[in-house]
Amino acid sequence: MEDFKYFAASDVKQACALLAQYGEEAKVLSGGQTLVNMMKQNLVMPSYLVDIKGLSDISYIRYDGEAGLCVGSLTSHRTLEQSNIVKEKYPMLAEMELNLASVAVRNWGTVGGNLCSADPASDLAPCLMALGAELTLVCQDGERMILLEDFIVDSFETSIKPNEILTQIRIPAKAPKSGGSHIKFARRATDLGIVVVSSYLTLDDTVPGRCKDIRIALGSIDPSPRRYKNAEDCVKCQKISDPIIEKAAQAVFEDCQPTSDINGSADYKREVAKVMVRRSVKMAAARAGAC
Amino acid sequence: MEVLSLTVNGEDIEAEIHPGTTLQKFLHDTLGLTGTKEGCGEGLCGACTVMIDGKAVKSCIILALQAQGKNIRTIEGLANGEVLDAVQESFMENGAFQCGYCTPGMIMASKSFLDETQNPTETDIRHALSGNLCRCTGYHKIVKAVLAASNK
Amino acid sequence: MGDTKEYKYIGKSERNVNGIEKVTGAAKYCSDMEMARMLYGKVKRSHYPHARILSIDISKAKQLPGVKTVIVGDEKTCPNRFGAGVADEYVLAREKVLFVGDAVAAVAAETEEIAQKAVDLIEVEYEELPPVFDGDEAFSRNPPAVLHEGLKTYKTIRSVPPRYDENRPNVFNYFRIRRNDVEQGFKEADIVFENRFQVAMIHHSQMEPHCGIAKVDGSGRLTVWGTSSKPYGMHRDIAESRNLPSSAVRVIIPTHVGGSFGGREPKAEQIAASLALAQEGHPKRPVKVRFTREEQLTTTTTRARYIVDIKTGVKKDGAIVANEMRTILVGGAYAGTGYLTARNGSFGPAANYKISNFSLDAYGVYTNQRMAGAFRGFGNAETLWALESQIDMLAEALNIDRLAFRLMNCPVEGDINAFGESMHSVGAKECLEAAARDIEWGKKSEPKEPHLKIGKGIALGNKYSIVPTASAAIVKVHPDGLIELRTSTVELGQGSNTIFSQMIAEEFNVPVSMVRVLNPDTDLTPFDLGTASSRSTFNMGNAIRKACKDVKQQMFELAAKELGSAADELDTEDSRIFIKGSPEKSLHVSELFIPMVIGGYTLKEGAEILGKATFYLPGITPDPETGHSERPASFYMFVAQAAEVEVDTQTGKVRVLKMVTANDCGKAINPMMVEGQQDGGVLSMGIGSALLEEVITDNGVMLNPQFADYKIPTTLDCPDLDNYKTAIIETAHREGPWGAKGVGEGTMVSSAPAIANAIYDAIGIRFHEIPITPEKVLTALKEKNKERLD
Repeated sequence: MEDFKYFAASDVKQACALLAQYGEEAKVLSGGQTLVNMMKQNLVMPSYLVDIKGLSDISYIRYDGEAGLCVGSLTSHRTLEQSNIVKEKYPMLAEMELNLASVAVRNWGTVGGNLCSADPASDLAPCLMALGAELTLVCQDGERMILLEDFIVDSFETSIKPNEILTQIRIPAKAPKSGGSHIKFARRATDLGIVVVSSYLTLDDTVPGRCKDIRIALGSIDPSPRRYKNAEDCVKCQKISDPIIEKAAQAVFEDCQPTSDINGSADYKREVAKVMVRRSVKMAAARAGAC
Repeated sequence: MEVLSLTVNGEDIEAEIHPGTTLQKFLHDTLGLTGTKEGCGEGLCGACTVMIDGKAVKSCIILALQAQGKNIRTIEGLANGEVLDAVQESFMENGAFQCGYCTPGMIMASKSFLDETQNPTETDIRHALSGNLCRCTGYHKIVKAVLAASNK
Repeated sequence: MGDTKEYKYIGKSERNVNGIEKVTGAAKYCSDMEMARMLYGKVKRSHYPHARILSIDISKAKQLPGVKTVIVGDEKTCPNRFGAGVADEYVLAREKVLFVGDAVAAVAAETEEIAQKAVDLIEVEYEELPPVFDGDEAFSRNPPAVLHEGLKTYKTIRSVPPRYDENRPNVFNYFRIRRNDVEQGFKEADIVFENRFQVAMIHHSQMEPHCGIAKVDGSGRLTVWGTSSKPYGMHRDIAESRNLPSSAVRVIIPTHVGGSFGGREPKAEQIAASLALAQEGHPKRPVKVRFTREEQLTTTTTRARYIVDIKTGVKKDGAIVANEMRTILVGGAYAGTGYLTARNGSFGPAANYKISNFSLDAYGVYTNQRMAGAFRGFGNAETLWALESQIDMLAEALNIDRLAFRLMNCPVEGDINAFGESMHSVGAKECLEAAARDIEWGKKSEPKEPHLKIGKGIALGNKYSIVPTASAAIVKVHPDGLIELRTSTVELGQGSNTIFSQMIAEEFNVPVSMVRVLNPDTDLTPFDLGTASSRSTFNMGNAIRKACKDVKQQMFELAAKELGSAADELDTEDSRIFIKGSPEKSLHVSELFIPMVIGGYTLKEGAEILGKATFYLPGITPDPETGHSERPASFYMFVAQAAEVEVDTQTGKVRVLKMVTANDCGKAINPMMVEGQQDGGVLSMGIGSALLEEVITDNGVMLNPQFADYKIPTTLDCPDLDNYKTAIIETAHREGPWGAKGVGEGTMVSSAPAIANAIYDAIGIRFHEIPITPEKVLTALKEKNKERLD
């Protein structure tokens, strides 16, 4: 590892001040489960490291019927996985966490760190995108909100500014008649996914079995996790049925841009993506109460 | 150089270290607690598993400075004098190791999990240990041992 | 059948005698060892698969502060080639590099970081040469590259000399078996199948990466510590590659080594030795060379790719009348253990069934990859992959149940195998029956959903153990009654220290805790061929028993004088020696010694109660034309495994729902440890090799050199506790200690075919290559559906 100057921030304000000072030459360290590995391999060589792991006031999980689920960015994956309110309101989030890496990584790694790393194979990002997550970014000049799906711009690249810190992730309150499903297809449960599919569906209040809203997000198969609006449009405002779900799956099949690599050919990944979308949307619909 | 102050197996330690020192290297090389091993250096095999404030972590991808002021427990800190911890005893009883290289990490991960889990199922245990690789045992006797220890 | 006598320590699942150190973190592995003023070594490696070395500039590396020694391959560092069977490699490449990762230079420095920085400053100029990777191409008469032009001039081992092929310049060994007349057999056959089967390259992935420490003492003597499984082999390689007299080298293997599985070639140790020896000035500092995981996965020996062409003929009544095979072990740039693996991989098919006409040609060829060869099973898992797949296909064609077909053709005691050998201690039938029972053969499981298909498969296998072989043991009785064992068997995790302690406990009637096993040290522990081939229980066990006999003889002769009896009237228990029938007439072992003024205890005569013995088994060298021999191996371990799999026909993913294994090991000295071998063989390497593991390369570069992408099974990839069963079949061997044979090597020779045969049962698709990945399955399913629709 190349040498660097280390700072342990005592609060968000100090962290922002440090980032304002060192800007591009600094990296923010939370759990470091991605960053430290990259630094060890000299893939990333910051001159300054701002350690925010100690900022316990941005580690929290709160839920209320208005704001929804508010998760501090330093919340560990394991805390999210074991949270009763998460299991109750957003079981797909807990299920996703159960299959994210392994317990020890989840104990130290943070949800904010995961999102800011913008790993194309992240389990967390597509899941939160499907749930409509909104992020809060803070810097010395103030704060701003941004939807997660707009925050991640490319492979390992977000729109975070060098002087900003991600402080919170907010998911809208659980609507009645809604349900979601997250599936990771991988060779082994601990692997990064070959395809990751998250879908979240809300049923119409009045017309039974009709989809009011749906979000479908995929990870691992494109340069960065993203929503599939074309696929969503196949299901939105439709009465949910196997043929409708199949249309969405087919839309993803046609839209996605996998590359061939050691995990599989592009054709295979596309095929599996289709199967996973079918299964995920079907499960989300069932959980929402469409039978 | 930075100053690191922490507690390791109940002992207060203070040392000057390079900021890029990982917790595993600090424990293994600086403190000579060689039970915490490097098996892959990338946080994939779990041979470096220790506890920070009771939680299992992969020390090879954590900077030692992040353990500032914390309580670290390594395999060397598990037994109570001559008396083995229930997990260690169960590993002995059930033959849950062969070459033993993955064993400290495996035991620390198991111990941390059992401390926070009541009545785990076999599936729970397999999930708890999915980040600890073993090439010798196929995990069969390890899972058996942890299940047996959970009943104690 | 098995020995049903009840013993006090033999046959008991005694706890691991080294267990406390392992579970408390006290165990020191080579990579944990530190010495004062230690230097750390790193290696400069080729990034070309085949190239001439034009120049190496080490000047910048030498100038880096903290660097103490920089070496390159030359007449000084490595004058001689060395190798297990054919001496074809140098410690550091000279003149040519032959694989991506071939070592060309090395640095010893104050820290690993500095050593690595120095390595990066070494500039090597190469002239690229065309490489060859493909096995068929390498094997051809006119390959795109010839790796060892001077092959015929290399020294070879006398006991098992190689055979080359005049027309095929990359062949480093050839072996053949001929029994009766396969052509005639095929004429008589009712059905003949001819197929090709292949296996991918896989890595042992021992949890402790390779490591070596070397130190030259004040007198110039070299000591090397390492993770090698063959201390005397390593000793010879270190001495002979440098023109050092054998007594100038000492090899020590710590009590704790992090696994081997056949892959512990002393690569790190050799580099450490060269760095230690090359130091200038005095005193010389110890050097540690510790491979990273990536270095281990990319440069150390693997299981080789294998190409097996097999033609088998059967009659309608189920008899196997002819089997013809050509096996090619696609080796690496240096023959290494591939030399013997290529030859001995033929033993499995030769012994598995009664086959009246048999022909096998086994080859090992060079390619521009790193060394490939020994891996649990030693070529037999690879060749039996082919045979057991073909057997399954033939059973189906004959409309005979796949288990029944195997039962009717498997050997029994006294049957003659393809070597012309009458086989002794054959548990094939019992293994098949046990596996069939445990998998509930014949019972079909219902899949949970329509896109899931379930199937069962079974496979028979066997693994020989090597001859010629020699193991020597020294047993010493201490004045306090402790019994010390000195052997060069390496405790790799298999439990040799524990079972040897049990053997001595049984011989002397003392608790296991009264036995201490020293770690291998060529200054102290006598010769052993190596911890390989599942040979230790049998060979070292016999040596130990002989040495115990020698010790007891000495003890009883000394005691007889004190007790006023004849030596043959005495026996021993709990460190006491007594007259048989009159146990009150006894003395404690300590009473044989006399305390001396100033201190210590002595015997009046003979210096120590020290017994020594060699157990030597020459075997009979196979005839070069027919392979025939009355004793080509010391014994055979039979194994049968069965699997139940679930195939997701929409993604191709295969899940092993249930897996069982039955292993014929002779008397199980420690059943819990036998199970341990079964567990690792099946659940880690069996499932891994069949479904998950593959060294993926592109132009000789490994694309998956870390555990994220080189996929060994995790806890979640194995069947759960209730769905995995083991059976120990104790078919006694008349020459084995208490009837014991061995187990470890045979634990995965049936795994891949059992799983593939189950996949066939589930979806009707036969795979000819492993690993069977989800993509291969889905592609094959689509092809099959397409054919049906067309």
